[in-house]
Amino acid sequence: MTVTRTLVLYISVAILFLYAIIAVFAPLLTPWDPHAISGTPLEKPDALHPLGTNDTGQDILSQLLYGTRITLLIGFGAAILSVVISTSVGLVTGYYGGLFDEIVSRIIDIFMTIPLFPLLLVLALFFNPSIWTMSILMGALGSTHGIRVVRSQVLSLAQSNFVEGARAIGASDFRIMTRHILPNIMPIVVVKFVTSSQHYLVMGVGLSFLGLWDTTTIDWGTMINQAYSSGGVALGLWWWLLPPGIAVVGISLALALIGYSFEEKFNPRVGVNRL
Amino acid sequence: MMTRTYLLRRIGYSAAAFFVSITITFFLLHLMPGDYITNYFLSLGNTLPQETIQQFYEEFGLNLPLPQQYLNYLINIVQGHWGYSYEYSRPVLSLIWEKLGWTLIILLPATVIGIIAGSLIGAYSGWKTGTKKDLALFNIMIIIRAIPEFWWAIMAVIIFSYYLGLFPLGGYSSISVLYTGIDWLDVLYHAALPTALMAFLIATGNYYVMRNSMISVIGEDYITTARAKGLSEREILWHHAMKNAILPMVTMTTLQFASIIMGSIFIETVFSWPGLGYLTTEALRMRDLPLLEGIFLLDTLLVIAANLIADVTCSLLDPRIRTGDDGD
Amino acid sequence: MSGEPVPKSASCGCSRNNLLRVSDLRVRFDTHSEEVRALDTVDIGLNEGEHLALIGESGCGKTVLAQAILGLLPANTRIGGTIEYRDKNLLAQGEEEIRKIRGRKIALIPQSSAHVLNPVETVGDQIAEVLTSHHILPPDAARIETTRLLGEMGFEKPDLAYRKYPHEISGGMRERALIAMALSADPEMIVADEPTAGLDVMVRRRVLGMLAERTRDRTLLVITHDLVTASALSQKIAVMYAGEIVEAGTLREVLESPSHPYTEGLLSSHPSRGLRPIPGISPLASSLPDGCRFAARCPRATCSCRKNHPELARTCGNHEVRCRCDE
Repeated sequence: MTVTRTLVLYISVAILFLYAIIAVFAPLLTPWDPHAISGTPLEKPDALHPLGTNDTGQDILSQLLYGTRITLLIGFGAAILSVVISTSVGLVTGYYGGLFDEIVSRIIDIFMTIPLFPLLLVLALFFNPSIWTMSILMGALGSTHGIRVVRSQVLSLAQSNFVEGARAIGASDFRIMTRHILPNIMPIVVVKFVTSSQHYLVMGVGLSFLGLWDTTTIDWGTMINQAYSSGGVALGLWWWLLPPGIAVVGISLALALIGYSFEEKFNPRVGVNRL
Repeated sequence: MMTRTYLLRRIGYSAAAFFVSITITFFLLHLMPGDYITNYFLSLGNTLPQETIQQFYEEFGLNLPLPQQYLNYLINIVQGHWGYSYEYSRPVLSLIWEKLGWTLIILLPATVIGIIAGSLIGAYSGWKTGTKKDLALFNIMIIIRAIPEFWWAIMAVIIFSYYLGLFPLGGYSSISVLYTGIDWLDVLYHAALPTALMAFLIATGNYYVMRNSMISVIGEDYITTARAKGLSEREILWHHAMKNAILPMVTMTTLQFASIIMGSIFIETVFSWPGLGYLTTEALRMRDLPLLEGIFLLDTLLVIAANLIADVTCSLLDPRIRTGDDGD
Repeated sequence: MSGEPVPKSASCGCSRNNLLRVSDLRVRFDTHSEEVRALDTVDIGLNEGEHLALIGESGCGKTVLAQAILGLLPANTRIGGTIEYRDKNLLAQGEEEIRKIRGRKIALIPQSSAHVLNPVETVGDQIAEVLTSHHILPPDAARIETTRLLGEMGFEKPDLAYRKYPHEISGGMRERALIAMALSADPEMIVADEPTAGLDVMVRRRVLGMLAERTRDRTLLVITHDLVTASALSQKIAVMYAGEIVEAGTLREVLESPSHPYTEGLLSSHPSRGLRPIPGISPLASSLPDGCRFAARCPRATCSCRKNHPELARTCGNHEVRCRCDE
């Protein structure tokens, strides 16, 4: 990788860490409780409230910092679930093949014909949307594509010589799958994890923006929603509207760039061809 | 035409998909705490005496065994009775149908423009892969796609509508509609910015697919053969590269058109454009499950139709699929 | 069989009527991790009307040579030396100049692979394209000429053949279509890359006959690993190994009195002469040995062979060998 690419990667990872630290140490970084009314409504930024207050007088900076938790939880939670399902199902179906594989593949094929986004909405509404249900639903529905990717990799690996050799010396199936095949598919699993987290994170904020869960939850989506629908644009409430948006863009970009540099490293044909 | 077995298998899958979708919606409706009738009346804000509820049960067949209800449900769906919206107190299907038209006003031109723009830029980028131009374009596209759709919409409103004053802040027409009725020129004016934004975002998706397609095409032997014949770069690009690179695009673009909900929900909500996406957001906020399910079923049908159209178009464009199992 | 090292300017051919002269050609590819030396100090000369066969196993660099002549190497290639066509160095020409030569003056019959032809265009259109692109004929006339050419190539129903798509024709038909494509603009010189690969004996014979007849008055460089093809089409032979020419001379000289151990090995491995393969495999182009590149597999290799890289030396007449076997 060239110098700029490495630099970009390091900066992106640093940004990611920054967000993580903010999420964990939010209470230490701000004196205000994000739900508490700690000032007069719509105050411009000042020393007491570095990002001003919203229309009910809550401190925006605190909301921004605490909101990081929800966003990261949803994004990474869903991504972990999605990756765990894709990897385990893909591993098992790809390795064993046979009838089980046939059935699962057919089911996946059918599911890929169903539009997953509206299904997500319907299920979310049914199960009463909360951070946890959204993470689980997004992770579960989103794993269908990943299963296919993992499965095809596992299929080709299962035929390879070293697997045959391992079987010949009497290694158990489980051992072969975990010790031999799994390490070889880790690269695509890692890439999938990074790109999935970006995708679910952004979708989580987006759904919250639409009003999927009640607006008393404080996260970036609800902040943007309230700022926008309270006429934030016309009233020039940039200190309320912009920070959560920039926050989302920041972490989305960081994850996207990390994902692409990994993808380039593991699969040079995908990125820009530079010999 | 493509082989009969393939077509049948495709239709089979589609039917299965629709079937599964209907089953899901059925069970969700019936697993809701309370049942359909009670919930419906709750939404009307009424409480009714037990006998009336019993009567409705019998009329609507809610006291029939579950398999029977399922069958009724299936028949109803096929006949176009998709239930009543809690919030709007209207049949779901007619409501959806009405809003679909509004979405199409934005979606159709945006998809056409987006596909053409994205494909051309993507083809150029792929053709020039290895150069700085491709690198720059690719990186720009990464950044564009990393910014969430709803944020692009909000930014567009802030910059173009608010600060530059070029476009209205939202809605589908100005207040004057109350006096003069709908002025279609005014509607188009309101549609301009959301359409442009949607086209922009659709183009980025197409860029990526077309670029990848072009990159794999230029590595093929027939490109070397074309160069060996002494063809000009333009001739090679258009007759050999583009003609082949465009094939995977067909599938992608038809499917894109079909994921109509995901594509329109954010833009329509930010711009207050009264289409299907906006309706979906309303349904979400108002917890209107029948309406949401109706939207889901419609989208499923659209995806199925899009898949079939993609298959047919592919077979028309690619001579290899055309002869299929018949040739040599 | 001692010989003096041959001055590079006079290698492998006379000076008059020189159509193509490759001098000191070096081709290197740079990949992520290593440098691939595909060709090293290759000298080839072809007079007008001469037929030269380039023999060697896969990976020895013969296709790279063909691509170098036609300017088809990828952009990241490092090329040294000259390729002179009618005294004009092709390597120094701009893309526009080369384009006018490709197909029109020097035509390539590419190796026939599954995707050597554009799958979404008819076979006929792809042949006619040569004529229209070089502004030799307008589109309608080009179509008629192409149909006629297809007929001459042995297609029974040329109109039908014209409209076929590449996946609808057999391997033999594809080869004939590629030959037609190369001949369409009536070029002075033809470079044929493995024209008989993958064809069964009957089809091969037919194709060879057709090719021999069509190139009788043209200059031909045929690249092949098959000795039968080489004998049918050429009078001169150059044997390549690991990116170098190791032996060159007339057909008779090389086949009847091979001087290089590799050539001897090649001949013995032929079914008609005993089917004795050469042990070992050729070295990777990214890690070539310092001394003689064939030393690892040579039955007569000495210490000196492994240390010192032999030069191409003339033995008798125009017969050249890269070997120190006499010292």
